[in-house]
Order: sequence, then C-alpha cells, then structure tokens
Amino acid sequence: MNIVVPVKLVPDLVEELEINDDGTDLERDFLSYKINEFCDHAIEEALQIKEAHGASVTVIAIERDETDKVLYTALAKGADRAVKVTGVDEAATTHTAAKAMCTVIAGMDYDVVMTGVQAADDRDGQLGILLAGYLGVPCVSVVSDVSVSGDTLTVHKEYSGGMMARYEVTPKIVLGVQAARQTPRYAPVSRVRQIMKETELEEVLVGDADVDVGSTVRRMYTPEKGEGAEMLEGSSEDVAARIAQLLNEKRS
Amino acid sequence: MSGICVILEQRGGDVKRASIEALAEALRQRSAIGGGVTAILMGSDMATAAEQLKSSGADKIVVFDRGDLAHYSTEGYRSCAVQAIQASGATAVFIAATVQGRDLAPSLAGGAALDAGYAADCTDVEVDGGRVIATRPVYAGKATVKVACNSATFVLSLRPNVFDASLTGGGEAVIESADPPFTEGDVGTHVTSISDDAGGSRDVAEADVVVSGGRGVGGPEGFATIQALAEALDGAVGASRAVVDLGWRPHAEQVGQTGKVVSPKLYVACGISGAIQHLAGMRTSKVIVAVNKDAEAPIFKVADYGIVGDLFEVVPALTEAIGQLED
Repeated sequence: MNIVVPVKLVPDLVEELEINDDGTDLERDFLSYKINEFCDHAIEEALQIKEAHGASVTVIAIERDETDKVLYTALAKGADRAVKVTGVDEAATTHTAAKAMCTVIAGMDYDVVMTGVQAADDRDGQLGILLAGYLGVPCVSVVSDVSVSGDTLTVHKEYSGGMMARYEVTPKIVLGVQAARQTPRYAPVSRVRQIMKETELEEVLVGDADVDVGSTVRRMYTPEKGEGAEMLEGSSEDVAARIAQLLNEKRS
Repeated sequence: MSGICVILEQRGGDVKRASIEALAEALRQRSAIGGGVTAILMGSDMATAAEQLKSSGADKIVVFDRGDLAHYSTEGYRSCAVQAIQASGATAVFIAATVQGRDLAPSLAGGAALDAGYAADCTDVEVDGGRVIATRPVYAGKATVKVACNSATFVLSLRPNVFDASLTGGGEAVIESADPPFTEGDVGTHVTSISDDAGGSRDVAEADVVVSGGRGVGGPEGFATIQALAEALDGAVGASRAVVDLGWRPHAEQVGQTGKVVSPKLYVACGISGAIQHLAGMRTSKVIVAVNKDAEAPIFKVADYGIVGDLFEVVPALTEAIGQLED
C-alpha cells in the first residue's frame, strides 16, 4: 500500500505574529514555520499503518523556511520518501496549495492520501477535501484510528455530539486525519542529522497554480487583548461563594 | 440569484441550537442580503421537526426525509444540500460550525459542486455594498480576518454559541419535500456502525457551560471533581490537550487548536496553564473563570476571574456554593 502524506507548514504560533502594512496578511519576512500539528498526526498514523501492515510512506511539503528540516525529520521517523514542492508563493492559500500538491500526487502511484484535517493558518479544513476534489477520489475527513485489512481500510470518523462512526473504504481515498492513535513520535536529532548527511530530498517544481480561491481577505488585524483576570483572594469557601454569586448575576 | 440557505443539523429530530443560531442570523441578514431564507433539513422522520420550524420566520423549509439519511454521510448530505442550494439560487449558505458542519461546509464549497468561497468558524457576518463579509479568527486566535466573497456563492460556517438564537418569527414557511439526487442507500462511502463514545453526555462544543481540567487535575480519578462541578452547573466536561495525550480523557472532550473550539456562556479552567493552543479553543467564551496554583499561568491573561489555589479545595467549594444557590 502506498500512502502519501502532504503536510503543511504553518507559522509558529509561539512567536509574536505581525500584520503587514496593508493589513491583509502576516508580515512574512521574519516568520518562522513549523509543521502543522494535524499533519504531524497524519504522518504518525501513516507510520503506524506501515509498521502494522507494511506500506510505503511518502511525505510531501511545499517549500518554506523549515521544509527541509520537516522532511528530514519525517524520514528519520520512518518515512520512505520525502518530496519538496518548489515554486509556490509563500502566501499561497489552501486552494493553491491543494492544487500544487495535487499536481505532484496525481503523478504518483498512490493508494491513500492522509493529510491533517485542518491547519492553524486557515482552520477551514479544506486541504484534504480540495485535494480529493482535484484528484477525483472520495474523501473521509475528521478521521482517527485507521486500520487496514487486505484491500480495505477501516476508519473512525467523529460525528457531532461525541458519536463515532466506523467507515470501511477502499483505495483510492483521501483521509483528513484528526488524531493519530498515539502522540506523534519524536525523532532524535542525531538521527535527523545522519539522514541529512546521507539523503538528498527529491524536488518537484510546480509554479503557482492559477486557482480562483472564491474569497479574499479584506483586512487582517490582531484582536484586542483582554485586561487580564480580576484575581479573587481569600479562603476557598469565600472565593467559591463570590464566584457563585457573580455567576448567578451574569446568568440572570 | 439572491437569498440565504441555512443547513440545519438535527439529532433524532431535534434541531441543534447551533443551527437555530445560524437560522436566526440568516433572518437578521435577510434584508441586507436580499431574497428569502431557505432552511434545509435532512434526515429520517423529519415531519415534526419541519412543522416546528414553520413559524420560525424562514420563507421555505426544504425537507429531505429518507431512511438512508438517518445518519450523516458527507456525500449523501452534500448532494442533497447542493441540489437545494442550486434550486434556491442562494448567494449565501450558513451552517453551524459543529463537527458535522466543519465536515460538510468545506465539502460543499470546495468540491466541484458549488465552487463557492468559504469562510470557516465565523464570529460575525456583515454585508457591505451587497457583498457578504465574514469575520473569523485565524492563527489560534492571534489574528482576525475579514473575508469577502468573490464568487457567486459564499459558504459560511458559524461558531456555535456566538450568534443570538432568537428567531424573528412571523409569516408561515412553505414546507417543500424533496427527493435526494441519488438512489436509496447509494452514497459512495458507507458507514458500518455508529457508537456513542460520549455515553450520551453533552458535546463540549455546544454546551452552555464547560468545566475543563488540565494536567493540574493530577490523574483520571481527579476528574470526578471536575465532573461534579460540571453537573452542578448543568454543563459539559472539557479537557486540555495534555490530559488527552496522557489518556486521562477521550479526544472528543479536547478543547483547543487540535480539539474543539468552544464558546460557552461560562468556561471554568481548572489546573490548565493556558498554552496558546488551548486559548485558541476557548478565548471567545463569555465568562472565563480560572483556577490554578501558579499565579503566572497565562490562562489568567484571558480569564475574567482568577483564583490562585488548589483546585481540589476551590472546585468542591464552588460545587457546593452553586448547589446552595440553587436550593
């Protein structure tokens, strides 16, 4: 089974984010990027399948500052191939990213595409769904716990209200991964360094795809910061009584 | 081409409050956007639900009522919704940003079906010169964007608990029953089983009150204290990512960037330090109360009320105080 994991790099949210002078996007000159957390889960789940059933795992990412590190780390964790997609604008939307990745994936011999269900840079959950649309294959999103039996995959999909549904699907399919069955593994730095020395990343040049994204950002701004909490002091009973009182007032 | 379609989510025939909020917002925007408001209801045995919406203020209710729609499927619900949206000629589609909405909305917009613009998890909607503008938080709430649509249709998912749920009422909606555009049972992928992991407990994303526990709770047994307060407040239990990763609580309860975004009337954070990923999931809550041992915990920056102390003393005291108020 060939699994392709397209991963997104997103701005590291631990850093302060600045808005550009136009007020339409982040000031990208000094941004540091890291792997989107959900995509890290997609890699983990793909590696779990590889270990349990045997599979070849290919990780692909669009070139950003930290892409090499992310791809080498994926190889160090156990991925078989890593492909860097170049030529795509840094401020690319999910639509353009999906189109570029589709161009690369369509030329591959793949069975399953596993990607993070959503990303911090859009939170709109479209990458997997758009990819599936462009590739012309079905998609199951918000998925966890993928298992393989012969040619069939069983996936668990979360429904509203804490319900879980079990799907049986057959390749080719795109899965939007919500959570891997375990916390994404850690690759020791020494192993990543070793891989960097021994391996060269594959590169594929894809120009900016001409995609109508359907919407434009008119304005981006940082939300007002709150003033911080009013701190309540005293014995637990006193504090509890005051909170209960306050809540009662707010409720009515 | 004008008007708004609202895709309603129901469970066992009860329309979710988050969907009522979306419908109420559509009714408020009706004159600005122009055209009518069409509510779309999909499921099995929908007659009562449709009847209840008759006086909601909507102009029309399109009902897809068939056995194979009893449970949600992306393909099945999408085909029905697309058919109804295209028939109505709507320029805006509202849908509640629940787990289901977060799946259905992008597949409506992104697929070849509508080829629409899409804004997820919106906290405000306005109309400027005939164009719909959506406000939505991005980058874990560190930035906010106002997005304008530049295609014929704009799909918006609305964050639950943010929009006022009061329906304008007035008039009587036309109820139109519609046939799904596929043969019964033929929806591409199929569901083999459905289980209720939450054991019938409340969905953290839709609850009015959420009491969340973090690493400070100390272990799975410590959550009995959290649960007790949640019950006293008639709310749901939430969890930080750390405790979900540790296996103390199920993933469905996780609040934050990699879990659910919640916006309840009251959020009580117990033993949660407040990492940016967690704040992303709860900072739009109306009132936030934080209990933490560490006075420097970042959670106190977004909280309205903070208590520095041992949660195993403060939380039971609060549970009791709430109980006394209600007596």
